[in-house]
Amino acid sequence: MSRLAFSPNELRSILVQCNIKSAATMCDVDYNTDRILEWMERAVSGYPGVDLLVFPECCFQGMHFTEYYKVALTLNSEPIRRVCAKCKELKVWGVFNPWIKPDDGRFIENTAILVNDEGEIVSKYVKMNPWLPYEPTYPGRGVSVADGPKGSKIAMIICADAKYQEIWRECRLQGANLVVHVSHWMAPYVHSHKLANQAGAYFNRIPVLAVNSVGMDEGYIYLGNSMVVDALGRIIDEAPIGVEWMLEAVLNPTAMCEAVEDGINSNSPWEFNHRGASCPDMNGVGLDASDYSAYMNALH
Amino acid sequence: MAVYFTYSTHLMVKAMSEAEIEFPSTKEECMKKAGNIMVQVDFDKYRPLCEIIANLAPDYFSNKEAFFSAWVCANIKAATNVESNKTN
Repeated sequence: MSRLAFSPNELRSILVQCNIKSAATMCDVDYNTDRILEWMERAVSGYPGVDLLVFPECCFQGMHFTEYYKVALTLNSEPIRRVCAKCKELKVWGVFNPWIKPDDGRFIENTAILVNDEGEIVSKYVKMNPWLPYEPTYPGRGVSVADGPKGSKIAMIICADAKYQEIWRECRLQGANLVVHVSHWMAPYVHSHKLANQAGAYFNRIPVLAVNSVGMDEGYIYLGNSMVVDALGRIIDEAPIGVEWMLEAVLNPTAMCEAVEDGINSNSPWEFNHRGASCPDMNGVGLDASDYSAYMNALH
Repeated sequence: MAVYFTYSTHLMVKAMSEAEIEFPSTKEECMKKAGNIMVQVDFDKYRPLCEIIANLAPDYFSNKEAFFSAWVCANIKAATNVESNKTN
């Protein structure tokens, strides 16, 4: 993982484990935005050539207990335009997570965006599993997979999403070779944060970049412990608990997922839809998800 | 003590690699690539790779595990047919 030793074909990311001010006003949002821009400059200064910068959930706004709905942004608002412009200026991709007020009048959507090195928003994902009952955002309906740098196919998930196995599986089945998990995961739930990232990776054979915030707000302390997890669920590297940090991740998501596809066993994304395929009564095909009681019962 | 031929999967992997068979692929494409390659299937038996593939049920393999699942399936069918014929 040394930053002096990486192949030009590998995706090099910096997970920015930062402290986010719990915004009650738009001035607070501007403060957070300034800090994001500082982190971006710091990351490219310290890790020249970096491909992707990843920021935690609600990096513009935090998650204020009572004022959150007053600080939602539109997608073309000044704070978001500023980080997009900074991506273009620094020639680096970025994942950011603002709370967005949609133009059509719906309530706030907890939205992750992927910005390319031209400053364009190339993917948008709305959190499918808001943290109930405290996060009254409008839920999304599906994951979004987009081409990222160095052959990556990036799916973003947000915090409480990680507690549900279906979304991890959907990321993989939609063709992602990398899950970027951004969160505002509070203490004392260190174990569940680690377990969710490792299980999501292992059950679906997909690497994970998990970035989590630190600091505190009106009610919680955010734990940090951002991590890089490989497609076997092993933690390659992790940031400390409770302090701001930049965690470097160097990996080849294409190769990791191709290795799974090239294996003669343990291709779980295929196996779950071809159960028992090698049984002589199954003709090499097996049973698919439509013949799986968990899914059938869930649909009724 | 009975001795069993336990490395047939290994030799199949090597034969597939020699044939440069990659996935996803159709059965027909796999058979074409198999050419004249022979695979050891028991201590004293060899079979053409092409023939082994021809006996697999699916016409399409999305990945290597799909292929090998079909291969194991075909092997068990063949083995149980032999046993059944012996019984009859």
